[in-house]
Amino acid sequence: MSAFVTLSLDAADFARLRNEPLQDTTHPGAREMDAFLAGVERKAFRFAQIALRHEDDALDAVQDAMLQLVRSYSQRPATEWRPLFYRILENRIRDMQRHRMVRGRLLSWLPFRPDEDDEQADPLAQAPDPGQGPVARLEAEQTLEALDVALGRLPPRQRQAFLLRNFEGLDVAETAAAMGCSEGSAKTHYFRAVQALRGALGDFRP
Amino acid sequence: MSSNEMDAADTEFALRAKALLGASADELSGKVRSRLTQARYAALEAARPAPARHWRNWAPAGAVASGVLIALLFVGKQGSAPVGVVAANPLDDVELLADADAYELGQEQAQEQDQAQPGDYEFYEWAAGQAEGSSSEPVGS
Repeated sequence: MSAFVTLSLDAADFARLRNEPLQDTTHPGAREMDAFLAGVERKAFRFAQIALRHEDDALDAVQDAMLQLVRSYSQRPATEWRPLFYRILENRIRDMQRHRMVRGRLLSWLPFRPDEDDEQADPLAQAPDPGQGPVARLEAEQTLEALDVALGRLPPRQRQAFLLRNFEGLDVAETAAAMGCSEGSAKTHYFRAVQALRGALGDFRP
Repeated sequence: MSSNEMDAADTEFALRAKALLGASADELSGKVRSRLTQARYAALEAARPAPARHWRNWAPAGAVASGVLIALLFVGKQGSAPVGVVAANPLDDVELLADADAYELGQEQAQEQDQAQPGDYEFYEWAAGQAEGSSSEPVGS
């Protein structure tokens, strides 16, 4: 019996192996997940900020959603991540809003209320700098603020449908999956959101 | 036409809103972008499989060895203490073993005690001299 083992690789096998990309087997899917989260994080933050009207709370909500997606759904196909992520994020936002409501009711019974200066962030201070002249910048900030306020006043399902369809660019099926409803309902929520926003903003000229 | 169909004005409005929201996301402050990056890394790190911890396999053996060492210190001290000498607390030895500074301090204290009691050495020299003197005398003188 031969003491050596010969590898039975022919030229075709070598060519195939040479052309295959190296994969990170130490943490499968980590790079793909990282790229997904990096691509979605800014819009997700704005999504949460519009609903919560608070920068730190929005950051917390996004971080929680990222964590839960990675922990619970990283093994799911990457095509499902976006609707899943936004569904998790919306649930987290609702939890925070509920928590705020309960806290507000409790605080209303107290004779002394804690200083809430930190709770309500200045929306103008949070508006992005568009790099324009002072007048144009002010107009852009005011328009954005008006849009944020109008979006924040929408019923949650309409706000969710509008941001998912319009801002995040999900199609109807993905929006319905993220909202946990039928495609028809998603369409209806979106349509009503547009009508409500037009009614609230009037002459809207970004 | 369905009641949920948008007209041209709706579509134009939606496009303007999309552009404005998109710009606001692209121009987030550096602080927010940094915190988002940190959040992403934290999420990915939390999902990373925990590294194999081989030291855990040795933890029971280490505990047993420590127990045996402490037991030996107790037994050894109790069995070898001479009569009239108060046995030191075995836990002091454990503390000395655990603390290098305490060991050195103990050595220094022992040296100081030896220097403070020179009478012991003088006694041993006298006893040795007596023994030599008695052995050199003739028997029966």
